[in-house]
Parts: sequence; C-alpha cells; structure tokens
Amino acid sequence: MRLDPAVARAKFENQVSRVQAQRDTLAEWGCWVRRVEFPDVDVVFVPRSPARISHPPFEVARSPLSVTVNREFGALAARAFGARFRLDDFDQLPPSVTFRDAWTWETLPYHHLPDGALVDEQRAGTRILQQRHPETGLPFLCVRGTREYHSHPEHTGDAWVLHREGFALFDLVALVWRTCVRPVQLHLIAAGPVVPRWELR
Amino acid sequence: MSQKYTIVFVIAGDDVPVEVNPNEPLHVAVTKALKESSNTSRPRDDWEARNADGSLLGSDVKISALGLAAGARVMLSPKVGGGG
Repeated sequence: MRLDPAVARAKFENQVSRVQAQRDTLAEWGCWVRRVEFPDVDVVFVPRSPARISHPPFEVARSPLSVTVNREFGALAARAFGARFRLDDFDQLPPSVTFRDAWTWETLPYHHLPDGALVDEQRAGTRILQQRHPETGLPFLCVRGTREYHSHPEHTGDAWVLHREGFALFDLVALVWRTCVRPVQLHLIAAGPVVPRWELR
Repeated sequence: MSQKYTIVFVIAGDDVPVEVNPNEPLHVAVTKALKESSNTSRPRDDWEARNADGSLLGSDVKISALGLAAGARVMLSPKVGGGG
C-alpha cells in the first residue's frame, strides 16, 4: 500500500458517493452498483436492446452500388456482465477493472465479453477490450485511466500521473457502459470474412 | 435575444449546473463548468462532452443545435484515447 490507509479509504468513499449520486443516470444506462466494500466497487451492466447485426456493405459487381444489411434479433439479447473497480491506493494508482460473471462474480473469459469499442470524433471505432494482460492474464480495458493500461509494458511511457487530474470512478463506470454496452445496443458489426463481390442476377 | 437557461454538466459524478445562452457554442459553457468545479488544471481540449445517451457533442456547435434544452445533462470527462 502506497497511501495512508485512512486517506485511501476517504478517497474511496468520496468516489463511491459520487457514483451513488448518479444512480438515476446509471440506472437509465442499465448499470447498477451491486456491492461496495473497500477497495472494490462491483457494478452490473445490463444491455437493454435486442441485438442488431450489421454486415459490412456488399459491393455489387459492375455497379457503383453497395448494399448494407441490418437485421434485428428480438430474441437475442446481449448478456449482462459485471465489472469490479478496485481503488486500492487511488489516486496514486489508477483503478483496476476486471470483468465478471454477473451471477457468480467469477472473472469472465474473453470470449464471453462484449466487443468494447471506443468511438472517436470521426466515428471510427477502436477495440479497447484486449484478450490478456501480461501481468494478470485476464482480459482488460486498454485505455488511459485503467491500471491495466498504465501497467502494460507497451504503455510505460504514458504514466498515470500525467492523466489522473480530474479523473474519477464515475468516468470509468461511464466508459465501460459506453464502450461495452452502448455499442451492443446500437448494433453489432459482423466480423466475418469480407464477402466477395456479389453478382446481380 | 435568446432566453438563457440552465443545463447540468456531470463532472466526476458531481452535478454542475451552468446557465447557458443557447446561441453560444458548447465550449463556452464547458469552460464555465470546468471553472465552477475547479477543474482548471487540464486544458479544455482535454475534455470531451457527451449527452445522456453517450453521443459525443461537438464543442464548437451551438447549444441549441445540439438539442440541449433546459435541464439537459451533459457528461464531461477527460479524454481517454484507446490503447491497443
């Protein structure tokens, strides 16, 4: 532990109270705080909408046309999941985020997790949920503000201390919702093989 | 002259109400909200604003054009950027 335990606990409680103050907004997003016990905050995320599969556009041979296919699957809902935010030594250390089964709270394998896409101002998506952290062996959010990002060997030059000012637990909860729940509600982009040119008959 | 009204910025989980002129670009209100909440150590461009649905809001766009009516909630958070 790097911080005085009393200071660490006070900072934890401050962050938790700010998250609790936004409970109505979180509930609208489908996020509920399940358990709070220093240094952990467990949040359940529940996608609400039916899954919609969008296939990448088909090119039509000998034609400038491309065809986009969208299909909704009413009976197919994305799966609820949990996330544990660990704030030991916050904000000397960034929060750690691990993904959990919403029922058993066991850590989830990568193939049970949502895509985790960060959409930028140009509406380009970056997949930030990565398969395996070299230290924990667990799937992780590779994004500034998470312990897993800043402790990753590829990001040792991007220290947490450069970013921690103004960064809060609520922002991280919102980030998980925005990257792991909201894209699922909007649509799933089929990641299958690129379809060859489609012949019109 | 447009009627001023109040929108609520959510910064680090705190509600920060700010009186706005709907004809002004969003960044004017963002600057006020950051000052009001004592978040002045990061430059304004290091923050991003999103509506309650999570959609990114252009900081140079007029508040009225963004559809932010009285009482609207705007999430203001530090930009994170994706790793990989």
